[in-house]
Amino acid sequence: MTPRVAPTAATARMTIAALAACLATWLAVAPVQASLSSPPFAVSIDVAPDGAGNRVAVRVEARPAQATPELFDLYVLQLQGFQQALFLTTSGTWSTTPVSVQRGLSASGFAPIAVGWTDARFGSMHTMVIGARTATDPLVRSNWLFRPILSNVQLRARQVDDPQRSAALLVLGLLGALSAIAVAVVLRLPWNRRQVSENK
Amino acid sequence: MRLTRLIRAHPDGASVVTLIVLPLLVFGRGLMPGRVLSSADVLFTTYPWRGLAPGLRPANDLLTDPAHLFQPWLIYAVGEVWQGRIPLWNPHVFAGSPFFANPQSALMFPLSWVALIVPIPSAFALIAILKVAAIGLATYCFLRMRALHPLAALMGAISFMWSGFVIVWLQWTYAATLIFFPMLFASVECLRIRPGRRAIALVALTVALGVWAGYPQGLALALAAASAWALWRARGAGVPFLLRYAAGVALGLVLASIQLLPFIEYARLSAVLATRETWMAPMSASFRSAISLLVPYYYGSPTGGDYWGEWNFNETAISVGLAPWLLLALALIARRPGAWFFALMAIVSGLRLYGVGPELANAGPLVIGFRIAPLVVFPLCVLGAMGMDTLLSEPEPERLWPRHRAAIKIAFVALVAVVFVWFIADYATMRRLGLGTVSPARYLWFLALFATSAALCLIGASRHGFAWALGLIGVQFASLAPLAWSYNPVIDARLLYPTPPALVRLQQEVAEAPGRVLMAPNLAMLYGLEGVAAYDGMTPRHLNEAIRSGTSALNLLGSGYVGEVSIFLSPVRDLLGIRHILVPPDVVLGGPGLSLRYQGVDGRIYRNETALPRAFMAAEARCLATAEALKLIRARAVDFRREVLLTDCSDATPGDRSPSGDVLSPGTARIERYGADRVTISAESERGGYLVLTDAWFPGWTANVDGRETRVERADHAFRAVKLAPGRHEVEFRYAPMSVRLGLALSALAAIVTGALAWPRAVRWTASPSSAPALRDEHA
Repeated sequence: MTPRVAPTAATARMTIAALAACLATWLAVAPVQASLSSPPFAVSIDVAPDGAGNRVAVRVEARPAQATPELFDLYVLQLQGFQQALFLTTSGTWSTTPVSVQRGLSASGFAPIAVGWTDARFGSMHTMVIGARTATDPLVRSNWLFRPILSNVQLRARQVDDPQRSAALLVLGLLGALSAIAVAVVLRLPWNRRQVSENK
Repeated sequence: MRLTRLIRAHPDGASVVTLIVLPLLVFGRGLMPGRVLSSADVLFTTYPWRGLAPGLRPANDLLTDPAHLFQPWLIYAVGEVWQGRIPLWNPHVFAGSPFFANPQSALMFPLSWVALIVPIPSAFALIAILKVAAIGLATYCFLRMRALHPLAALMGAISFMWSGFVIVWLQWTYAATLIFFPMLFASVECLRIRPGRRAIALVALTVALGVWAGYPQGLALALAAASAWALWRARGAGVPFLLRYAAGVALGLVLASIQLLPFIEYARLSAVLATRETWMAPMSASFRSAISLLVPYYYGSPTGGDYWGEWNFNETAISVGLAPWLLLALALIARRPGAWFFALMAIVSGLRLYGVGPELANAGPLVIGFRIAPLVVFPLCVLGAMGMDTLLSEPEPERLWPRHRAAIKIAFVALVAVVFVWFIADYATMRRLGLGTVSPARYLWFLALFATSAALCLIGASRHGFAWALGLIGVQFASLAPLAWSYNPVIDARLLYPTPPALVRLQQEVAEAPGRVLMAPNLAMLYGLEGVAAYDGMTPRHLNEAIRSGTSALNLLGSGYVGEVSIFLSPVRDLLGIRHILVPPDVVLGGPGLSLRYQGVDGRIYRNETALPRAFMAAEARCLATAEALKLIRARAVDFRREVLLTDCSDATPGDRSPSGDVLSPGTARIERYGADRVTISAESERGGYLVLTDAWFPGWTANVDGRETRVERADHAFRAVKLAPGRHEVEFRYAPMSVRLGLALSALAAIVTGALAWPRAVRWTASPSSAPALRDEHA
């Protein structure tokens, strides 16, 4: 019903117009500047399966930005939904009460901080790193000095650690075979194409 | 054969019937006697309801907001309206809070009015049915205006109305707002195809209804997308078209003033906005969770109790079925008008949704990152429809067939490969989670439906007729139906807000000793009680600061509830007049003035004898800056019974602590009549003083002392007070906010203008041959 579109010289203009339209959409939902400044540190998280679970290592490195005279305490939190959190201790356990992994840090620079834990769970979890005024409650937002850093941690298992690996491989092989059959069937469709062409 | 003949003769009629019947089939169970579409069974995980049925597992424990917020609100609003009152204020939560001003109460939205004429249990299902049907019809309307084949439009409509995003948010107001994503696009089309007054009126009405639907942030996203579409469609029509569109949007916003102005007033005084302005968590899921676009239950589900994906199921479930993934390539290859616009919209929004790039998922202080999902879902559905239309309307199938065939096959093979590789990578994890059997079954379900979809597309690419198209629409519905059928539970109507013995006793206690109660958030309103614990997505800022600010709580999005524990521990517990406290049976409270009044399997009730009366005379007054008043309150350094702290005061001098009455006998106050938006108090004092009413202060509350208007002071940071001269007085507090009155006037004015624009001329909005030139203009 719709007229088919032939390539015309207007294509370039259309693309530009589309980009402009998308840019307008983007700008409409663009990020606004939060009143908290960007954190003077970067966070990297490494996850390494160790058979029974995963060893998670959090490394925080200074990234000096603006001169913030106030000292801050660093907290690593595990989010429990949007309302609650647990705190990582330096010994790698989780606490329900606020515990910092390093106190009295200066925004102008500090030695890299490495903390971690071993997690026996699988799935996803979310961590948040907070820099709060030293010796204050990190759960009170007005004590935050910088924007927190949210991270998603994927806790995955490996096939090699599966105690019934052969059973798992059998299932995967079966699914692979069925997928291959489905692909083959679809690639050969429509079967009557030749016949249709001959009839014409 | 008869069916195909009927469809061929009346394609639009058949499609419309389908779009109405399908929601009826899926949610019609909720209209059966003794059944109700509700997630109220989640209450049975908390006391006192848990005591009624220990061990009862809710069908979907993620649907807490509908059970705690939206359905109680609707019940409350209907009750108020039937008693002849417009529910502007809700005295049952937060020590009182604006009700109408919260757009999520959606009082102006016509679908909410269904509950006024239909019994509540049936209304829940009927509203859900109408929401889904309206989303489908609006999408169908837009696609038909784009001159798509009726079956292609039906495919697009079914894809969007049953998409994961619509279904998981069905009982929220956002789902109602989703009607206006396609509606706005359709109104732009109207304006483009038939420019004129009526089209401007249509844009205005769409915008206003979109605001009234209850989630203005969602409408803002829809407006951003529709404005971009208007820009795109402006080619060939020029600036006048854009001006007409802008006029329509502006008129619509003025038409919606009755809701917008109170909303803005409440937002400015809300804790949520204040919290999010400091920092809005950049909510996004990792890109790997996008696999659930193809396999909705890849990461399990809350209904199965086996969800293991990121955040929660509601935030990541945005599947659009399977057919669009095969068809969208056709739309792009065939360079369908607008195809690249929707493709770019989906890509750009998808990148933001999945947090690609630093902090790009933060969409401002009001919009949670995940909520931009419709900007991904809707264009995918439109592209799917365009792709199907390519197959249905191609005049020379043989010429284009090889390209179509290749595109479908490449899309099929690539996506099967992606899902299978994903599955291999995750299968060990699935097995560890005990999903070793169910996950392969989910993969097979995907494979079977996807292969069938591909086969039907290939048949469509090589044959005339449209039986294959009906089959493809059926398979598309089948790929979305499991989520639609199971996600929003239909429960036994006896589980809909029953009254456990503890609540019966609580009602008796309140009758005996009037006062506020402390119990589960929001639900006091269903039992005729006045509670404090609550959440409403906005939260009155001053009350929140008096109760909770400074307490240790994460509250990542700022919209968490003002809960029982923080209220119990707060320095204003007694000031709030909380005389009765309902706790689980294993919780023992201790402290001065607390006495146990009830003990049962469903909870314990304590009476708090130290609670202050709801209205009393204070002998002393001090005028302080907000921060100073809060500091004193938090330090528990104020004797509220004796002294009132005034903020932004009219005539008291800051720091003035001289008594304005006799300290020993400040006077008496008695509530004579208590209504939601009108409170009458008789007060008597020999030397005068301040009458304190511990209901939440908010702009719009006025006071008349013996018929003379008197300023309402903000007392003790969050409450109300008026100054009284010596003697006996009758004080009447009334809630009649200027924002509502001004909004009403502006809306009425805009309604007259809209009506005048829409007046008479008959115009056909349906696709017609005359619309083709407009589409062809795009490629001129």
